[in-house]
Amino acid sequence: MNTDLIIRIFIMKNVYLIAGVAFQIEYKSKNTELLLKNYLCNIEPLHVVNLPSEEEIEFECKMAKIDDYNKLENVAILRKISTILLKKHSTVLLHSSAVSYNGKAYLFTAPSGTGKSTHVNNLKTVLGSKLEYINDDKPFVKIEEGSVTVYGSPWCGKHNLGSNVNRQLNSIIFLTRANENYVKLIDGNEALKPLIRQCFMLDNKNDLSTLLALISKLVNSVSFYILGCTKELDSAFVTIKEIFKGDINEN
Amino acid sequence: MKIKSDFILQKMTENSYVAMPVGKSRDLVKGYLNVNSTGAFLWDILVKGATKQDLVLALTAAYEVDSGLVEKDVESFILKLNEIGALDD
Repeated sequence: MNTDLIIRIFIMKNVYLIAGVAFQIEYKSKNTELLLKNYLCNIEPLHVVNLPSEEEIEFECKMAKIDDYNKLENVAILRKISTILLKKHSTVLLHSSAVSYNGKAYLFTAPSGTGKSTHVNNLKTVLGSKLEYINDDKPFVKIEEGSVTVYGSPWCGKHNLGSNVNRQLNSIIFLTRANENYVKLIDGNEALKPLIRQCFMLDNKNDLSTLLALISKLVNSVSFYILGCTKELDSAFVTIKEIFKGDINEN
Repeated sequence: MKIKSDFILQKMTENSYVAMPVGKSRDLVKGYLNVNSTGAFLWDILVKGATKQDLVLALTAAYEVDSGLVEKDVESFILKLNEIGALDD
């Protein structure tokens, strides 16, 4: 494949509103342009994100073990944006599947391969249009005094499920594969370790300290559940009743 | 003994702290420890460097307890710190 066809010679730049913050982003890849297009905006940018350097692309190449500029450029941009959002805007990238029900956001999180997508898919089957996808992979979470907001982002996973919306966060659910469906409410202390594991990390003391301080606010602001679930459709009813506090008979 | 410079301790809730390393090589399965306020007290001393005996003395002085009682606690805390690789020497 001749990648010259899809990587421009000239640097493009546009302004995008991501997690409520306007970024001017430079790019060359058509892939990046398509990925970001739903987030275009017309306001004065607060931050400028320069075209990723050769070193930054090389770093992503090592991390992702792929060697394709078209796929790596937007990953490098995501790293730059996540860093700015964490340092300047109290906003954390939390690897999870974010949905909303009755106007409130819920984050389902688990190590890759546990079955987040399967469960969210089951919820969608049962709830239909009452369940809204916010982001199936990398939503941003803004943590402020008294309010936690989940934002959709352009990086929404391999099934491309997501939308450019924001909703107040109600609960975070740690999903685990089980033979029977069950829900257990846990306290903030118990939630800390799995929560930290799913966050975008930075590599210096001050930034890690910033992240942990935000997480300490988060654990005091929302509810946490462990959800043991099967792959079957029944598992959706447990979540709807016990976590969404919804009426199953309505669905 | 001394806490390695790339480790941090952060207060998370009322009586709960998290200790973990900074850096790309961090292993969040092994390199993570929940610490209570007594542990945080010892951590602060270990940041400057201390022997086991220093820690026992500091604890008995601060909490007015018998040194025999706290020695085991200090030992088990040091063991935990070693498990997550937080100590030099």
